[in-house]
Order: sequence, then structure tokens, then C-alpha cells
Amino acid sequence: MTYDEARSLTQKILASAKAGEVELRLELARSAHLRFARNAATTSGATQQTTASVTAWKGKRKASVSATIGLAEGGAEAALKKLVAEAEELAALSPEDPEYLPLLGPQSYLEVKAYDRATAELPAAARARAAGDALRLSRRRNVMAAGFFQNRGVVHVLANSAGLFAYFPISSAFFSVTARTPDGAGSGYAAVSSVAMQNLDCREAAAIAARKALESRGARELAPGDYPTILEPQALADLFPSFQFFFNARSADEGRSVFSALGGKTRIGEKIFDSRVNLYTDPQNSTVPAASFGEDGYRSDRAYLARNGILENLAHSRYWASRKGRPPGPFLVNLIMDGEGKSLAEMIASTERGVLLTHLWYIRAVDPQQGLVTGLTRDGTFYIEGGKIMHPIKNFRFNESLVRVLAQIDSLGTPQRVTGIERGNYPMLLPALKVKSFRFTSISDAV
Amino acid sequence: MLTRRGFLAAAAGPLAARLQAAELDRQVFAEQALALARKAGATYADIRINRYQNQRLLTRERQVLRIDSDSSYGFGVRVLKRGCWGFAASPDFTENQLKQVVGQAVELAEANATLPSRPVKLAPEQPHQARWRSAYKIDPFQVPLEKKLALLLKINETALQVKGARFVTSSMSFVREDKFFASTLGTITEQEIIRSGCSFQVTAVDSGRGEFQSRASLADAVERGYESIEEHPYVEEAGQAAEEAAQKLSAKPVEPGKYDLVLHPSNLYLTIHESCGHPTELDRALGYEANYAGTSFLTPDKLGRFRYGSRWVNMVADRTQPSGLATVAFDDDGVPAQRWYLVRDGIFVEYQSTREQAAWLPGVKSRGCAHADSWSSVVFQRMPNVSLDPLDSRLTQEELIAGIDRGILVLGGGSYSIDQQRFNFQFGGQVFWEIKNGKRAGMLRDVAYQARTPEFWNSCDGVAGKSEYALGGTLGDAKGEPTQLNAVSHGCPPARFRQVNVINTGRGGERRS
Repeated sequence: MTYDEARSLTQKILASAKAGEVELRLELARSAHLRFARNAATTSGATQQTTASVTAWKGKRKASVSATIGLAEGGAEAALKKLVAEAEELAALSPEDPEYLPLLGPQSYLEVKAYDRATAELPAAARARAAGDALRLSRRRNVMAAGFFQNRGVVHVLANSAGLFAYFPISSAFFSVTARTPDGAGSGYAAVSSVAMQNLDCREAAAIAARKALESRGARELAPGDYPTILEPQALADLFPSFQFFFNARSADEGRSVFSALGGKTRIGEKIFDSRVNLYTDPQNSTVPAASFGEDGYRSDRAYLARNGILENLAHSRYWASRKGRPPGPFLVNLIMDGEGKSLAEMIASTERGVLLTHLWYIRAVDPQQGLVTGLTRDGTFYIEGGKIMHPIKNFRFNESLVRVLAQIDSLGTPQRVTGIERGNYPMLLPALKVKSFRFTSISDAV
Repeated sequence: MLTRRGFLAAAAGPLAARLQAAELDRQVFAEQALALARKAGATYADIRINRYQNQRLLTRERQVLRIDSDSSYGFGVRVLKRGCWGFAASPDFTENQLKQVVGQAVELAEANATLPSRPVKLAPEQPHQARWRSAYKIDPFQVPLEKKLALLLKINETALQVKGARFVTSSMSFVREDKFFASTLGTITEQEIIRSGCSFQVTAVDSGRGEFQSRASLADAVERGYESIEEHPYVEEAGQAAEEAAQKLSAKPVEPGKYDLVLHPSNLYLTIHESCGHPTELDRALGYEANYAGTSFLTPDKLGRFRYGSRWVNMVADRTQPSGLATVAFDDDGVPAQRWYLVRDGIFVEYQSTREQAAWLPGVKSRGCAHADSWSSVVFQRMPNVSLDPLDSRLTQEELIAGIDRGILVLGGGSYSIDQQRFNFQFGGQVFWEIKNGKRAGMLRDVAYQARTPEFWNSCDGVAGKSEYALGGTLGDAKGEPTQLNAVSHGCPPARFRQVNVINTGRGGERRS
């Protein structure tokens, strides 16, 4: 759906609304994927799906309905009008919303280029070629590969009865592969993603996974405890989404977060992290371009959570921002952390005794008051001594806090585009990170 | 009951004319899809035409945050050609779109056939024709919105009346699935499934010390109607939960170490899910989910001989279990729902499986575990209801507690995490009672237990009887790429475990173990 078609359709629908305010969201998604395992193709699928969401207000009463709708033969218009009517009907039954805010009027948005048509419409044969390269390499290296290749094209549309209209197309190609040695003693993981398929080197990813699988065989036990630890960008990407929830302003103001201070205050403005910590969102970053609008169609902008180690801001919803007299946001459409250009080899060389983490798994919040999470290492964990990787070690469970990780930085690498394993396509640009201490609490026998 | 003959008769006549009818004739549409697939060379094909309806209500304190209603309707066609799968889906029920979708599914299968592959072989299965509806008395979608919101706000108000309780959120979720399945085998099934859930969380705050503690409801969603919500004493539980949240603020931090544990069903269900439900999935065990969900320590060489747990441990998989969230009449391969043991007398005896998986290991047949979470999702193996069967035990929770000198009774699900082969896990809870000399003593806080799956289940030395059996479950268990969600229940009575490692997750003591 083009910009003009989306504008025309949404205007027509909004004009049909009976009374009160209406917000309309469309997500037009085209997606295809191929999976493989045990060095062979397994399943694949393709779908085109449009999801429409309508929120209607009757005064301060609000309700939302959403549905997948068909676009063929003019079906969209009738389906959307029906949704508007349903939302209006439900809104009338709802109690008044004490957090009601009037809809935003027209906004001006940053220009973000994030759509590559060839990637969104990639044919099945191209996915098969990419996977085939990885499978052949894996067979040659005598590892068993399991992986996933997905290409997507999504057009996000948001329009409301106050005249706001936002349109944002984005594409993505994502390839990930886990290589395991046939004896089950070694495992390695690698993933690559981009807005454009042409930037992906799936064969190289398969080679990295195979190398890690072979190098991680014969893992020995290292006693749990605190160790200087290097997190590859993938490991940091696995960890960060679980930290993201702690950056909520309302939770902090309500005394329910690691960023809460006594007396109903927050720690905004405090130097909490290492001085090199710059953590921000930037929709226009060319490696991780992201939506030009956030909640309710509010413009998304480059904005810091932490700068030079100081907690600069927490994510404020529109309502909470109005309560606190602050501008809404930052809307975390992506997440970027600056690096300092250290190579992984330099980080290893400067480590007298420590641990290298390549991939993390099943990370869950344990105590929001401490920013504490638990999780496990997987797919290659290594022991470093005297500036060299000595041998693979068995996986660890860790219990570690956001504040400790970002306060005890030793050195930072060069940021790379990475995707956390448990958080879908949330784009991040993160460096490798060496911390002075990371707390491992028990050993896992999993490979 | 539908018949094959009736199905074919209904399919007669031009499709275009039939599609113009206001209500889609699913049988006609399905037959056309299967005919197109056969014509394109598919050796097997099926079509799912599904409608999903969800309602979610969310409140906090004295306000309604969200009233969300969503629906999804479309069809997905799966074909097997040259030994490879292809799948495509669309919400557009037009003749052109149907042709395009079938063509796309065939194209994907052919593309996969150019890759190294292992030809898919499906286990033999009889054709079935059936209509089935999950058991419910009150359709939750017919219950007035005002009534549901009134209950949620009453839950909140009751909690807020307790001194120290500052925040409370509550929510309800309702699901209706209307599923139609037809395959080239001649199977035609129609199933309607209703699931209902209500939950809340109360947070008590100690402003002076800047501390807070929460307590969530111990009830979980079930495959029933609104009657399940009316039968549970949510309002009374909200008051108790608020008291317990406030009590947790001044409760004694747990001293890390080895404890005997009595795990209440509201806690143990999730441990069963993670440490038995997932490792007994055959696709995981063979490496098919290695890239995301992981593999399994229960490798095929352990089948029939590995001591997974003590003699008290009998894990039953059951897609026919009353109220179980994964209960159906037929799976998404068209295989009838079944009940079988995964672990019998402590020994690992069988996997969860599908028609395709039956060819992967000798002696395996389909146990009817094929599932897709949407008409637009690819079918693969998902977890049935997996439960700890008390058999003929007559023990009670109080008797289990009586046999403990130093231990902890854990209620409710807390933070949970387990490794990708399902060995090492760490689970929290909602309420922790210290057990001293066979009796429940004071409340503890900051408790999490950390164990290795086989050691944990082998330390089980008592399971209470059927009278204390309860179901827990989730509407959103994630697996696969792209990630799909599955609704699944786990039943159990309270059970006792000896000398389990307990850590303190609180400030200052969080990482001692």
C-alpha cells in the first residue's frame, strides 16, 4: 500500500466515524521464511497479512478492537468501517479513563529510509540459495546445522481523527544458525540481519557457528563465582532486552524500579554507570533504522537514556510525561550503545583470568528493585588466562544486575547490528563489552 | 457429523458463485484447495480455515486501562511435494487468492527440494470426520463487559483496602478458536475451543525503606467458559494476596542452603512444564529446535531406561484432560487426541510426537501433538497437557509438611529460567512459608530454588493425592521460528523434594548460594 493509498483509505474510514475520537493503525506485513535442521531443509512458509487496530473514544471512554483483514476486492474499507463501529460500541460501555489525553494532531517526522523492496519480496529460490550455502558449508565442516532465514516487509500506518497521519515502511532479512558437533559436545551460534538482503553473508555466519561449535568441544568445569567477563555483541543483545523494562519512568516514580530513589523520586541525573556508557535510541541510524513514530504517533527522535554514565532519562508515556511536566519519550524504537573501538582480540589479550560469553538464553527478571536478572550462557563459553583463550568451559547460570554490568566496564568494542534471541526483530547496535566482574552462580551441563 | 460424501457433494458447482455467498462454505473452499494442490503434484495436502477471537481486559487500581478485542480469520494450505513441505496463507477468501496461495505453497516445497533434505514420511492415519466443542457452560464472549470490569475493579478495591497495598493490576483474557481442517486423506474436522483466564497482582510498598513486594493470583487460565472465573474466589484471594504482599515486606530473608521443599500446584506446574514438558518433545531431542528453543538432555538412547525421577514421578501427557488448555479432539494433522505416559515409575518411556516425527525413530507413532497457533502459521510439534499423576496416593500436603524438619512451602509462580537442554533451572514463587519441625512457621522472602532436572525429580519422595490436585497453565508458551504460542496446562498435587538448593535473590544476599 503506497503512502497515497494509505492516506486516502484512512481518511475515508475516519470520516465515517460517528462521533468522538478515533485512532486507526494498519500493519501490512509480507513475510516468508525457511527453516533447516540436521543439515536439511525442514519447513517453510509465506504469508501476507494486514492487521487493523481501531481505538475509539466516547468522551473519555475508550476501547480498542483489532482484526486481520483482507485487502482483496475492496474488502479493507468495509472491514475497517465495521471495526470502527465495534470500537465505538465497546467504548460506550467502558468507564471513563482518568488518564485520558486528547489525540495528537499532525506531526512532522524524521525521514527514515528502512525499506528495500527486493528484500521484502525475496523469492523462495533466493532463500533456498542462502540456506543451501550454509548447509553445504556445515556438511563440509562436519557439524549439524539448524537455522532460520526470514525476510519481511511491513508498512506501518497510523492515522487519527485529529489529523495525524504517519506512514513507515520497513524491511528486514534475518539469518541465524546453530551448529552442533555430531557427538553433541560442541555448539556455536551466529546471526546476521539487515534492512537489505544484500548486506547479509549467510555463509560467513555458518562458518562462525561451525568454528564455535568445534572450538567449544571438551568443555571443562570452572567454579562458579565472579570473573572478569567479555560479552560478545550477541551476548549483550541477548541480555539488554531484559534490562529495557527497567527504564520505565512510571515504575521508577512509583518506587518499583532499580532507578527509584527514596521519597518518590527517581535517580535521573545521577551518575550510575561507567563514564563511557552512552545508551540511546535513534530512528535515523543507517544500520538500525527504526520507526519514525512512537506511542500515539508521537515523533520518535534521537534521545539518550544514559550519557557519559549519567542516567539522563527514562521512558515516559504521553500520560506520565504530562503528569511529570516532561516531554514524552524517549520511545525506544531501537537501542544503540556507543563503543570505543577495542577489538575482541585486544579484550582477550588484556584479560589475565576471565570468561568469554558468546550467546545467552532464557533471561528473566528476578528483582526489579536491583535490576537483577537470571539466565544462562549457551553455544560456546570460554576460559581466558594470560591473555589467551585456554579452553571451552561448561555453561553457567548467572544472576546479575543491569547497574553492576554497566558500572563495571573495562572496555568496549565496535558496535554491530545484533538481534536478541528472545526478542524478535528489535534492532540493536551494540559493542562487545568487557566488564570487571560478572557473577556466575551455578554450572549447567547443557551443551 | 460430516461425511465424506456430503463434503464432496457440497463441493460441487462453480467456486466463484459459492464464494459470493455471505458466509463462506468452508468445505467447498477446502475441496478446491486440495484439488488444486493435487493437480500441482502434491502427494499430501491439508487446509486449515480458522477464526480466532480474543478479548483482553486490563485494569489498575480504580481504573480500566484497556478493553481490547481482536479477531483473525484466514486459511493456510500445507503441501508435501518431492518429500518437502511448503506452506502459504492468506486472509482473502477469493478464487484468485486461493490459486495464488496453493501455487506459493508448492513453490516453497519445490525450492526446499533443491536443498539437502530428508524426505518427509507421514505415519499412516485413518480419515476422520467429526465436530467437537470444548466443554464450557457460559460463553465468556456473551458475558456483559460491565460485569467483567466490575469484578476486576472489585478485586482491586479489595486489595487496596489492606494496609500497605499500594498498587494492583488485574486482567481477564478470553479466547475462542473456531478451527476447520481438511486433508487429502479425507479427514474433515471442525472444532470450537473456549479458554478463560483471570489474574491479578498486588504490590505493597514500604516507603520509608524504599522497598516493595508483590503477590500475584495463584489461579491460571483453563479451557472452560466464564463459569471458571465465577467459581474461583478471586475477591477473597485478592484480600489475602494483599495481606501476604504486605507481610512479605517484613518477612525473614531466606538463608541460602539446602532445604526440603513442598511445592504447591500453583508453583510446581511451571517446573513440570519446563523440566518435563519441553525435554520430552521429540523434535527438540533430535536437534530440530536447536537454533532457538534448544535441544534436550532426554536423548533417544535414554528412552525406556533413563531414571528421570523417583518412583513417585509419573508424568502423563493428555490432550483429552478436562479443562486442559491443550485439550482438543484432533490435532492439526487430523490425528485424534490421546493420553499416554512420558515418565512411568520414574523411567522416561515416551516422547511427544506428530505424524511426521513417527518416521524419525523406530517404534514411534503419532501422539497427536501437531499444532499451529494461527491459520497463518506452520504446523509443528507442540506440547500437550503434561501432568504429574498422583495415581493412588492418599498423602496430603499437611502430611508432606509433617515429614520435614527444615524446609519451605512454595506457592505461586515467580521468576523462571531453564537452560536450552533443560538441565539447570531456577524458579521463584509468590509466597514462601518456612517449615520447622513438621510445621508451617513464619513467612520467608527472596526465595528461589535452583536444581538439575534429574536430581530434582529423583529427590521427590512424596506426592499428595487426587483431592489436592490442581491445574496450572499458560496461554503463551513460545517455541519455533517464527515464534509461535501454545496454550497448555499442567496438573499436579503438592509434592515434596528433598535437599534442594535454595538461593537468596534479595538485596545483599541475591547471589549467595
